[in-house]
Amino acid sequence: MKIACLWVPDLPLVAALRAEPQLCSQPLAVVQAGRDLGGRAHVLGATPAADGVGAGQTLAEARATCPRLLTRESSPERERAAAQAAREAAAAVSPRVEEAAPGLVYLDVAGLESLIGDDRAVARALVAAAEHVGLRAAVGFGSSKAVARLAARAASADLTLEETRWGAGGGAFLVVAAEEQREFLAALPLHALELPDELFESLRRFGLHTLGEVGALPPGPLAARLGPEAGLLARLARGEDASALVSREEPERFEEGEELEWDASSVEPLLFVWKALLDRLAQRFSARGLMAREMDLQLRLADGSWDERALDLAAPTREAAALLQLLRLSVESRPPMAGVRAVRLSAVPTREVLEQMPLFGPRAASPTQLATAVARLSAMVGPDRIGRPHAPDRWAPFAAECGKFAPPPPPRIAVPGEIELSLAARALRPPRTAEVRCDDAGTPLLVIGEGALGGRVVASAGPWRTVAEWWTDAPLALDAYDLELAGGLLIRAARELATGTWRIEAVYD
Amino acid sequence: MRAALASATRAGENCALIDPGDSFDASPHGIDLDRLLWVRPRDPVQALRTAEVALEARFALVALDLGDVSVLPPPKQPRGIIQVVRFEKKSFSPGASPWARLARRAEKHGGVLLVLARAPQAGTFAAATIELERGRAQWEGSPGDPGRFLRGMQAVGAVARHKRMPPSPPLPIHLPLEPG
Repeated sequence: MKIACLWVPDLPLVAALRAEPQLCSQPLAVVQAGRDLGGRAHVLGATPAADGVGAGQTLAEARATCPRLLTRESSPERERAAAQAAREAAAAVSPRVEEAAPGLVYLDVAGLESLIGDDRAVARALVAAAEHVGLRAAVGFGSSKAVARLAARAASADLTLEETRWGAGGGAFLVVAAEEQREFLAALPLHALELPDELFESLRRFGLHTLGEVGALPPGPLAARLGPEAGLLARLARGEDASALVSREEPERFEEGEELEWDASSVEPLLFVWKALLDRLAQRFSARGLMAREMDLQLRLADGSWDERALDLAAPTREAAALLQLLRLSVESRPPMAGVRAVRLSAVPTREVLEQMPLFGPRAASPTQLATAVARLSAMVGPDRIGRPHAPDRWAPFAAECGKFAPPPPPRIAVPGEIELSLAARALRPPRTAEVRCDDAGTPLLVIGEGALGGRVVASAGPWRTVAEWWTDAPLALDAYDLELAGGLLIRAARELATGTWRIEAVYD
Repeated sequence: MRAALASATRAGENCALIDPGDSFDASPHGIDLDRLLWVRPRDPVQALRTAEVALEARFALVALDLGDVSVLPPPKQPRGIIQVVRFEKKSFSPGASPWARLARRAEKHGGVLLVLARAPQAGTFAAATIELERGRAQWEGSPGDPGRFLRGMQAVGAVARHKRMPPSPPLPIHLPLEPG
């Protein structure tokens, strides 16, 4: 068995740098949100440029140590998104992935030699996949989860911090081959194992400083003396790890979120935040060959409530500009009830459709190009004003709605169709009201409508009665006529039975 | 316009209908609606921009319906104009009318822009201009008969202008009404 561990140490710091990569070279500390009982804020992580500042210090100590220190509050939304991105980076390399904790992911990497290469190549690919989603990760390889985790921890000593266009880079890896495992474990110092303080002190008092020294002792008496954890430690020293990798399915949604430093009460600051979130989402989609099929926007308001809304995507897309426009349209048309304190975007992914372009014949747009164009058009005219036309299952004349535009693939051999000319109706939406003068028999004689929609009736046909949808709040009951007006205009007019009012529904053009 | 959309969609081409007047009748009548993208911009300026985006997306036929009934000519001259803007190599001055830009897009991406309007719009940028004039309606049955119905309409069409051939004489066209 071969297990890899992808670990993102300092997750709050890396999550902050993912949003602001330019701060990688600055003295930056990420501070916990809120204060402890003593009213102090504590540092969760700091960049190397913040010399002398480390996790656990109070903010006051950190500022005293590094006067030029910049600070950012930790953001649960960013860390959530960073943890999900870590999972996706692992899933980009292997389909069998287990997330043990935020920023700690195990993968089954057995069988990837033919796809990627040897263990070092796979480790390198994993580090690169993490960097592509803005994460600086330490990667370790071993024959079990525990060994892989220890290898990742050992690799973290070689981490650097570099600014990349996606976030933080500078990952490192360590591959522990099966034959090197015993030697590797034996040399591990106990202080690198995150042991409980009491156990660590007890082992130190016994003069044990490395895992190898612990492994040389019989596990039974050790556990009896120091507790079951010491027994596990002894087994670990021999490379024994009974825990199996339990892979979980991919999340159904990709999420990115951000807390705002102050409540946003207009669209402009939200546009700035959305742009950054959409860019990160687009990057994550692009890395996996995915597109957004659905997208939800969640706004946490100043009063603590959530404003949740779904974007109507005419076609799958990952184009940030079109999605930004749709977000803007959504919020401008229905502004939230209070200032916005946090933003979360959640997208349901779908596979990017790749199609072989034909060798002969005109070059059509690829499905991705088509979806992108539809998304752009949707952002321009509104999602409800674009799509495949269809007549809804109703009796209302000339009703039409837009559905999803998903054309089938082009036929192998295009057969030019014959052109059949016919008289078509140009629907008037909404129908134009008109005044119609009739004779005693009810036959229309004169139409008085807006603009050119009027004149003396020179020929007519009808009425054709339609009574339908009487079970709804808007029943339909009308008599329809086809009228030819002086001057040649042909119209479809209808008289509502309930009110006697006339309306012009279409022009034959 | 519907005939052109029907012919293109049945041949397997994706088409776009830019309909700022929101007047498209969604009954199929020969059009493969699965291949038709119906776009309803809010004004003519937006309509031109959406036509440009559709041409860039390599829709084989982009039909731009500017024949809004609100700008119908006086009853004495019921007419329609169809112009075909195709890929004609021509040097355009930058920043020329939107039709210049649309013609460039159509040429570059191998599409056809079909413009339906009440008066000529694209001027010299059009590869062909077809004028249509409405004739008399044709009715079936006697006036007042319960079974009387509109059978269709006579029209006259002519190629008023074409870059590669001389104008044609007027041709009678019979337009039967599509069965509802």
